[in-house]
Amino acid sequence: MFNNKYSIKTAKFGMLLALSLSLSFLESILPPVPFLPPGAKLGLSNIVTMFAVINGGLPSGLLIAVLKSVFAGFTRGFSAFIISLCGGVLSIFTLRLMLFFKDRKLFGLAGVSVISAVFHNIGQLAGAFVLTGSIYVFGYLPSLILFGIIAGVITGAVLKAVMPALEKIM
Amino acid sequence: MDKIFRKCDALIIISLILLSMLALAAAGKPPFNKGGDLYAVIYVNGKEIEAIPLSSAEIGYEINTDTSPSTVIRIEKNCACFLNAECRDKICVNTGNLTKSGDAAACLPAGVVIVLKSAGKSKVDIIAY
Repeated sequence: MFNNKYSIKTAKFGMLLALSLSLSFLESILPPVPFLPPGAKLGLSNIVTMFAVINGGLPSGLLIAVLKSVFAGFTRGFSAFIISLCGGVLSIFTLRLMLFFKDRKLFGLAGVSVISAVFHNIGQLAGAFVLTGSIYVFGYLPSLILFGIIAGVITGAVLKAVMPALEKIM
Repeated sequence: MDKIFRKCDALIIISLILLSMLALAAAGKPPFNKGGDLYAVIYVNGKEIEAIPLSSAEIGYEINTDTSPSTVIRIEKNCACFLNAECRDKICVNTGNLTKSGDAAACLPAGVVIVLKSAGKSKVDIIAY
Protein backbone atom coordinates (compact mmCIF):
# COMPACT_ATOMS: atom_id res chain seq x y z
CA MET A 1 0.00 0.00 0.00
CA PHE A 2 1.26 3.39 -0.95
CA ASN A 3 0.55 5.86 1.80
CA ASN A 4 1.01 9.40 0.61
CA LYS A 5 1.04 11.05 4.03
CA TYR A 6 3.82 8.82 5.33
CA SER A 7 5.83 9.07 2.13
CA ILE A 8 5.86 12.84 2.41
CA LYS A 9 6.80 12.64 6.07
CA THR A 10 9.65 10.24 5.31
CA ALA A 11 10.92 12.40 2.47
CA LYS A 12 10.91 15.52 4.64
CA PHE A 13 12.68 13.68 7.43
CA GLY A 14 15.30 12.52 4.94
CA MET A 15 15.85 16.11 3.85
CA LEU A 16 16.34 17.23 7.44
CA LEU A 17 18.81 14.40 8.08
CA ALA A 18 20.73 15.26 4.91
CA LEU A 19 20.84 18.90 5.96
CA SER A 20 22.20 18.07 9.42
CA LEU A 21 24.80 15.64 8.01
CA SER A 22 26.04 18.18 5.47
CA LEU A 23 26.27 20.87 8.15
CA SER A 24 28.35 18.64 10.40
CA PHE A 25 30.55 17.66 7.44
CA LEU A 26 31.01 21.35 6.60
CA GLU A 27 32.07 21.99 10.18
CA SER A 28 34.52 19.12 10.24
CA ILE A 29 36.51 20.52 7.30
CA LEU A 30 36.94 23.93 8.94
CA PRO A 31 40.51 24.31 10.26
CA PRO A 32 40.97 24.42 14.07
CA VAL A 33 40.81 27.98 15.37
CA PRO A 34 43.54 29.10 17.80
CA PHE A 35 42.44 30.09 21.36
CA LEU A 36 39.39 27.86 21.12
CA PRO A 37 39.28 24.60 23.08
CA PRO A 38 40.59 21.81 20.81
CA GLY A 39 37.80 19.89 19.13
CA ALA A 40 35.22 22.57 19.91
CA LYS A 41 32.67 23.02 17.16
CA LEU A 42 29.79 25.42 16.62
CA GLY A 43 27.29 22.59 16.35
CA LEU A 44 25.54 24.03 13.30
CA SER A 45 23.73 20.75 12.72
CA ASN A 46 21.97 21.32 16.03
CA ILE A 47 19.96 24.01 14.25
CA VAL A 48 18.38 21.18 12.29
CA THR A 49 17.85 18.91 15.30
CA MET A 50 16.23 21.81 17.18
CA PHE A 51 13.93 22.41 14.25
CA ALA A 52 13.13 18.69 14.09
CA VAL A 53 12.20 18.55 17.78
CA ILE A 54 10.14 21.75 17.58
CA ASN A 55 8.19 20.55 14.53
CA GLY A 56 8.27 16.76 14.74
CA GLY A 57 8.60 16.17 18.48
CA LEU A 58 10.91 13.93 20.48
CA PRO A 59 10.88 10.89 18.10
CA SER A 60 12.11 12.85 15.05
CA GLY A 61 14.84 14.53 17.08
CA LEU A 62 16.03 11.26 18.61
CA LEU A 63 16.02 9.53 15.22
CA ILE A 64 18.14 12.31 13.69
CA ALA A 65 20.56 12.17 16.64
CA VAL A 66 20.95 8.38 16.40
CA LEU A 67 21.33 8.34 12.60
CA LYS A 68 23.83 11.22 12.82
CA SER A 69 25.98 9.27 15.26
CA VAL A 70 25.82 6.17 13.03
CA PHE A 71 27.10 8.37 10.21
CA ALA A 72 29.83 9.72 12.50
CA GLY A 73 30.71 6.11 13.33
CA PHE A 74 31.12 5.21 9.65
CA THR A 75 33.23 8.25 8.83
CA ARG A 76 35.21 8.82 12.03
CA GLY A 77 35.26 5.52 13.88
CA PHE A 78 33.77 3.83 16.91
CA SER A 79 34.76 6.43 19.51
CA ALA A 80 33.13 9.18 17.43
CA PHE A 81 29.95 7.06 17.31
CA ILE A 82 29.79 6.63 21.10
CA ILE A 83 30.52 10.30 21.81
CA SER A 84 28.11 11.57 19.19
CA LEU A 85 25.38 9.20 20.44
CA CYS A 86 25.75 10.16 24.12
CA GLY A 87 25.88 13.89 23.36
CA GLY A 88 23.09 13.80 20.80
CA VAL A 89 20.58 11.75 22.79
CA LEU A 90 21.13 13.69 26.05
CA SER A 91 20.82 17.03 24.26
CA ILE A 92 17.58 15.99 22.52
CA PHE A 93 15.95 15.12 25.85
CA THR A 94 17.21 18.39 27.35
CA LEU A 95 15.92 20.24 24.32
CA ARG A 96 12.44 18.76 24.71
CA LEU A 97 12.40 19.78 28.38
CA MET A 98 13.59 23.30 27.54
CA LEU A 99 10.92 23.68 24.84
CA PHE A 100 8.37 22.99 27.58
CA PHE A 101 9.75 26.03 29.45
CA LYS A 102 10.00 28.08 26.27
CA ASP A 103 6.30 27.50 25.55
CA ARG A 104 5.62 28.95 29.00
CA LYS A 105 7.66 32.03 27.99
CA LEU A 106 10.40 31.37 30.56
CA PHE A 107 13.23 30.95 28.05
CA GLY A 108 13.93 32.28 24.58
CA LEU A 109 15.59 30.35 21.76
CA ALA A 110 19.06 31.36 23.00
CA GLY A 111 18.49 29.81 26.43
CA VAL A 112 17.02 26.64 24.91
CA SER A 113 19.98 26.34 22.56
CA VAL A 114 22.63 27.13 25.21
CA ILE A 115 21.29 24.63 27.76
CA SER A 116 21.01 21.88 25.18
CA ALA A 117 24.55 22.70 23.96
CA VAL A 118 25.86 22.39 27.53
CA PHE A 119 24.13 19.03 27.99
CA HIS A 120 25.41 17.96 24.59
CA ASN A 121 28.92 18.58 26.00
CA ILE A 122 28.14 16.75 29.24
CA GLY A 123 26.83 13.78 27.24
CA GLN A 124 29.92 13.77 25.03
CA LEU A 125 32.24 13.86 28.04
CA ALA A 126 30.22 11.05 29.65
CA GLY A 127 30.84 9.08 26.45
CA ALA A 128 34.53 9.97 26.64
CA PHE A 129 34.52 8.81 30.28
CA VAL A 130 33.07 5.45 29.22
CA LEU A 131 35.72 5.11 26.50
CA THR A 132 38.74 6.13 28.56
CA GLY A 133 37.60 5.20 32.07
CA SER A 134 39.21 8.41 33.24
CA ILE A 135 37.17 10.94 35.23
CA TYR A 136 39.70 13.61 34.21
CA VAL A 137 37.96 14.12 30.88
CA PHE A 138 35.40 16.21 32.80
CA GLY A 139 38.16 18.74 33.54
CA TYR A 140 37.51 19.84 30.00
CA LEU A 141 33.93 20.86 30.81
CA PRO A 142 34.43 24.51 31.96
CA SER A 143 36.15 25.61 28.76
CA LEU A 144 33.63 23.66 26.68
CA ILE A 145 30.75 25.36 28.51
CA LEU A 146 32.22 28.82 27.88
CA PHE A 147 32.49 28.06 24.18
CA GLY A 148 29.11 26.28 24.21
CA ILE A 149 27.43 29.49 25.42
CA ILE A 150 28.72 31.40 22.40
CA ALA A 151 27.87 28.54 20.05
CA GLY A 152 24.42 28.15 21.63
CA VAL A 153 23.53 31.82 21.22
CA ILE A 154 24.69 31.73 17.59
CA THR A 155 22.73 28.58 16.71
CA GLY A 156 19.64 29.92 18.52
CA ALA A 157 19.82 33.16 16.53
CA VAL A 158 20.38 31.32 13.25
CA LEU A 159 17.42 29.05 13.98
CA LYS A 160 15.19 32.06 14.51
CA ALA A 161 16.41 33.52 11.21
CA VAL A 162 15.91 30.37 9.12
CA MET A 163 12.76 29.12 10.89
CA PRO A 164 10.28 30.87 8.51
CA ALA A 165 12.06 29.45 5.45
CA LEU A 166 12.24 25.92 6.92
CA GLU A 167 8.59 26.02 7.94
CA LYS A 168 7.60 26.95 4.39
CA ILE A 169 9.29 23.81 3.02
CA MET A 170 8.34 21.38 5.78
CA MET B 1 6.70 35.04 17.71
CA ASP B 2 9.69 33.23 19.21
CA LYS B 3 12.01 35.55 21.06
CA ILE B 4 15.76 34.87 21.13
CA PHE B 5 16.31 36.28 24.63
CA ARG B 6 14.11 36.29 27.69
CA LYS B 7 14.95 37.13 31.30
CA CYS B 8 15.79 33.57 32.36
CA ASP B 9 18.21 33.25 29.44
CA ALA B 10 20.41 36.07 30.74
CA LEU B 11 20.26 34.60 34.24
CA ILE B 12 21.29 31.11 33.16
CA ILE B 13 23.98 32.33 30.74
CA ILE B 14 25.58 34.62 33.35
CA SER B 15 25.54 31.92 36.04
CA LEU B 16 27.05 29.38 33.62
CA ILE B 17 29.82 31.84 32.70
CA LEU B 18 30.55 32.54 36.38
CA LEU B 19 30.57 28.83 37.29
CA SER B 20 32.94 27.83 34.52
CA MET B 21 35.23 30.81 35.15
CA LEU B 22 35.35 29.80 38.80
CA ALA B 23 36.17 26.21 37.87
CA LEU B 24 38.92 27.36 35.51
CA ALA B 25 40.38 29.68 38.15
CA ALA B 26 40.28 26.99 40.85
CA ALA B 27 42.07 24.43 38.69
CA GLY B 28 45.77 24.28 39.40
CA LYS B 29 45.41 25.99 42.80
CA PRO B 30 45.21 24.47 46.29
CA PRO B 31 43.56 22.22 47.37
CA PHE B 32 43.63 20.77 43.85
CA ASN B 33 47.32 21.49 43.54
CA LYS B 34 49.22 20.15 46.53
CA GLY B 35 52.51 21.56 45.35
CA GLY B 36 55.65 19.49 45.08
CA ASP B 37 56.83 17.53 42.08
CA LEU B 38 54.64 17.10 39.03
CA TYR B 39 53.94 13.62 37.75
CA ALA B 40 52.66 12.78 34.30
CA VAL B 41 50.25 9.92 34.90
CA ILE B 42 49.39 7.95 31.78
CA TYR B 43 46.17 5.94 31.64
CA VAL B 44 45.28 3.43 28.94
CA ASN B 45 41.63 2.40 28.92
CA GLY B 46 41.19 3.60 32.49
CA LYS B 47 44.20 1.72 33.88
CA GLU B 48 47.19 3.66 35.12
CA ILE B 49 50.20 2.33 33.27
CA GLU B 50 52.86 4.85 34.29
CA ALA B 51 53.47 7.78 36.65
CA ILE B 52 56.52 9.67 35.47
CA PRO B 53 58.02 12.44 37.61
CA LEU B 54 58.65 15.31 35.21
CA SER B 55 61.78 16.25 37.14
CA SER B 56 63.31 12.94 36.04
CA ALA B 57 63.19 14.11 32.42
CA GLU B 58 66.41 16.13 32.36
CA ILE B 59 66.42 15.60 28.63
CA GLY B 60 63.02 15.36 26.98
CA TYR B 61 62.05 11.97 25.56
CA GLU B 62 59.17 10.24 23.84
CA ILE B 63 56.99 7.30 24.76
CA ASN B 64 55.10 5.24 22.21
CA THR B 65 51.90 3.62 23.39
CA ASP B 66 51.18 0.32 21.66
CA THR B 67 47.51 1.15 21.44
CA SER B 68 45.42 1.17 18.29
CA PRO B 69 45.72 3.87 17.00
CA SER B 70 49.15 4.42 18.51
CA THR B 71 50.14 7.69 20.16
CA VAL B 72 53.45 9.38 20.88
CA ILE B 73 53.78 11.13 24.24
CA ARG B 74 56.52 13.66 24.88
CA ILE B 75 57.84 14.09 28.40
CA GLU B 76 59.89 17.16 29.24
CA LYS B 77 61.21 18.75 32.40
CA ASN B 78 58.27 21.12 32.80
CA CYS B 79 55.57 19.69 30.63
CA ALA B 80 54.07 16.70 28.89
CA CYS B 81 52.04 16.47 25.70
CA PHE B 82 50.79 14.27 22.91
CA LEU B 83 53.30 14.68 20.11
CA ASN B 84 51.34 12.63 17.61
CA ALA B 85 48.47 10.19 17.29
CA GLU B 86 47.55 7.93 14.41
CA CYS B 87 43.98 9.17 14.37
CA ARG B 88 42.23 11.72 12.20
CA ASP B 89 41.04 14.52 14.47
CA LYS B 90 44.29 15.05 16.50
CA ILE B 91 42.35 16.68 19.34
CA CYS B 92 44.86 15.35 21.87
CA VAL B 93 47.78 16.87 19.94
CA ASN B 94 45.96 20.20 19.60
CA THR B 95 45.41 20.29 23.37
CA GLY B 96 49.07 21.30 23.53
CA ASN B 97 51.41 21.27 26.50
CA LEU B 98 50.22 20.21 29.94
CA THR B 99 52.09 22.37 32.41
CA LYS B 100 50.22 22.49 35.73
CA SER B 101 48.61 20.07 38.12
CA GLY B 102 45.19 18.95 36.91
CA ASP B 103 45.93 19.55 33.22
CA ALA B 104 44.80 16.62 31.12
CA ALA B 105 44.78 15.55 27.51
CA ALA B 106 42.96 12.58 26.05
CA CYS B 107 43.15 10.59 22.84
CA LEU B 108 39.73 8.96 22.70
CA PRO B 109 40.19 6.53 19.79
CA ALA B 110 43.25 5.09 21.56
CA GLY B 111 41.80 5.43 25.07
CA VAL B 112 44.96 7.15 26.27
CA VAL B 113 44.76 9.93 28.88
CA ILE B 114 47.64 11.96 30.33
CA VAL B 115 47.01 13.80 33.59
CA LEU B 116 49.48 15.97 35.45
CA LYS B 117 49.30 15.41 39.18
CA SER B 118 51.21 17.03 41.98
CA ALA B 119 52.81 14.73 44.47
CA GLY B 120 52.24 16.95 47.49
CA LYS B 121 54.65 16.97 50.42
CA SER B 122 54.54 13.26 51.19
CA LYS B 123 55.50 12.25 47.62
CA VAL B 124 54.44 8.75 48.55
CA ASP B 125 50.73 8.53 47.89
CA ILE B 126 50.97 9.01 44.16
CA ILE B 127 53.35 6.11 43.84
CA ALA B 128 51.48 3.96 46.31
CA TYR B 129 48.02 3.81 44.68
